This record gives sequence, structure tokens and C-alpha cells, in this order.
Amino acid sequence: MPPELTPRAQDLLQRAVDGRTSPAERQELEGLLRGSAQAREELGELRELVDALQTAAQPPAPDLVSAVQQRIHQASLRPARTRARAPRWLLASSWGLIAAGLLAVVLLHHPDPSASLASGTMGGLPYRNWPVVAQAEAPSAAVTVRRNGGTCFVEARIQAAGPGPVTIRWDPGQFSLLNLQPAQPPAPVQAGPGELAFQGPYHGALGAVLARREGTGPADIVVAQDGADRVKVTIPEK
Amino acid sequence: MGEGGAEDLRVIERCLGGDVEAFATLVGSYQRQLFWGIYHRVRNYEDAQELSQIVFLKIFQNLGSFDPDRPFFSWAYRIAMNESSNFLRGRHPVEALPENAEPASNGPDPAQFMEMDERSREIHAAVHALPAKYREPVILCHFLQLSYEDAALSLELPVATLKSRLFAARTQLRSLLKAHGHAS
Repeated sequence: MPPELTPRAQDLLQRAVDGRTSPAERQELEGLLRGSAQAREELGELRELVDALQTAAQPPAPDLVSAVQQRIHQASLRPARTRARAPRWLLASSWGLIAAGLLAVVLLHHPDPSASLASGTMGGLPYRNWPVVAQAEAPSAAVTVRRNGGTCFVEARIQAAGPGPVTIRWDPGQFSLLNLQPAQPPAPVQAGPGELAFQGPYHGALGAVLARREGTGPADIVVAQDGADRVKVTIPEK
Repeated sequence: MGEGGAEDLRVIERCLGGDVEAFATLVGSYQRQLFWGIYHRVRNYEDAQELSQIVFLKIFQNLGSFDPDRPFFSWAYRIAMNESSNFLRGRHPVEALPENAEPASNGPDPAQFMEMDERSREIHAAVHALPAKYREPVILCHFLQLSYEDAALSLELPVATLKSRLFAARTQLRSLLKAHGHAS
């Protein structure tokens, strides 16, 4: 800005190019422009810049609607229960009760337990290439946790078929569910924050992508089958 | 966001009532702004696509905590920016980027997608060369075409601060563009 233009004049010129001046300010602006060649030049340059910025504004984005809807259905996502005070408009309706949502619950059958589920990609890096940060094994199950920054991919392999459900549990204060692997038609049997339940009998591999919340301390992920904890892995400190 | 805000609330109520399909309306309304907002943070088209989907899933899961006194976009934008920051923090060790490296641009050439002319590419390059506190007001007010008020809410700044940064950004942009041999 040229030094002879006062801050007030600069502010007027900037708001003028955005069309944000009041009638009184427009009068003031006209006076300024009549008396200052510098102000006229400044306004012209600002308009040219703003026009260029508007021209460079973004074209339409890729259509995300169907992909997002598909992922919501695949993971059987629902709006989660909030711990915050419910807003008045929500309390006034019956929606609030329903909004105390379920997290994902799915039934996944995978014919080959040795097959890898890590076929997804985030940030251009396949899950299978994320560094392993924790592993644990038991006779009937094995869990591998891979991490990419604040996101973890938890892969559980269930080695033995059982009649009861298989569950993956985590601390919902430390993680939130992003999506599931693989993408299969879901069949919900149970729901709750920090828990996925897969109806038995089950024999195969399943996985969940979890996003780390603010917590940075060690966090446990437990895989249970038929009501008994089979494997517990502790994800190290962030 | 005026009438849009009332319509957003109606859609959110439907979602909270179990009408999952209603969420498509919100995605359709805000996908352009959120996608490009994310793109300008991570600067990779493919990453922005994946992150945008994740952001919308998080938005959906957290609709119950949305404050109806706040514009939907500003709330959604904060989620998008937090996720983008988490993503960028997480990507650095995996890709062994230097501590202060600029976000990688290893995806398809954005210009290919935007079909930009040379002038528009220069404008984008100049905007990305601005410090973050000046860059974001330009992206919100010009590229995403938000009002001062909505941009200020999205950045959690007073309107006066938003304006001050936007005006300073324009001054810097003119200098940057002139330095590259283009009169603004």
C-alpha cells in the first residue's frame, strides 16, 4: 500500500472490492477516489486481483455422495450418542432418543482366514504397508495393529470357528471407528461405542480402521470370542 | 447460513431420526467446499478425496453433538481441518518427510483436474506461498466464497481479525504476483 493512503482509506478500498460498503461509506469512497489518483490506481489493482481470485475459484468437486452413503451402509454407521447437553431443538423431538446412536456392528464372513484384509489405502499408502506397532497371538486368534500417524488399522484373524459372536473392543475415548475391512454386506447383531460385534459362527479375518483421538497414552484393543477375551494388544504411546 | 441453515437443521433431524439417506443432502450441499478446503490443506487430489469421505463419515457420526446455533459449514470445516492436520502429522514419519516439509503433491497433477489456465495456476501457487494465517482467509473468502462472517466462524476468529488478515493477504498476493512478472 502506498504510504499516502490512510488505514481508513485502505479499509474502504478493500471493502469496496467485496461490495461491503454502506451508502455513507460509498459517498466517502467517491470523495476519496475523486481526490486521489493513488486511491484510484489502488482500487483498480485490488479489483483485478479479486477478479483473478474469483476466476481461480474451484470447479465442482468429485461427487462424494454415493461413496459416502455406501460407506455408511457398509459399516452400519449411525450418529453417535453425544455426552454434551442436547440442544433444545433436539430435546423437543423424539429424534434425540434415536440419535443415541449405535456404532458399527457387522457380520463378516471371510472364506480364507489367511487372506489379507489390508487392501484399503489411506494417504496413498496401503494399510498393509503401515508400520506394525503391536501384535498378539492366542490359539484361536491373532491381532496385528498397524499405525499411520493418528490412524490405526486393526486386523484380527480368527483361527477357530465358534458359535458365539466375535468382538473387537477398544477405548472409545481414545479411538473412533473410521471404516471396516473388508467391505461386505453388514448384518448388525450388537452395537456400542468402542465395540464391534460379528455374529458367530465365525472363521476368518476381519479388520477395523480406528482413528486415534486426543489421547496419546497406551491403549488396549481386545478381541473376544464366545464371551471370552482371546487376545489383548496394547498400542504403545503415541 | 440463513435459509440453508434451517434446511440443514431439518436434514440433521432426519438423520438423527434414523433417515440415513437424508445425509446425502448434506454431502451434496457441502462436498465442493469441504473437498477443496481439504485439498488446499493436503495438496493431493487423491488424499483429499479419501479424507473428504472420512470427514463426512465423522460428521455423520457426530451429528448428535452439532450445535444448531452455529452454521453447519463452520462446524464441518473444523472437523475437516482437524482431520487434515491429523493426516499430515501422520504422513510425515511414513514418508520420511522433513519436519517442516510442505505437503507432498505426489498425486495426479491438480491442474489436470481443475483444467486451470496458467494464470489460475499462478494465483493458486501464490496463495499457497502465503503464511497459513493469511492463506486460509483467502481460500475461504475467495475460493470457497464464504462471507466474512462465515469464514470468521470457520476459522474461529473475530470478524475484524479475519478482515485484517484477508486484506493483508491481498497485499502480499499482489507483491508475490508482481514479483513473478504479472501486474495484479
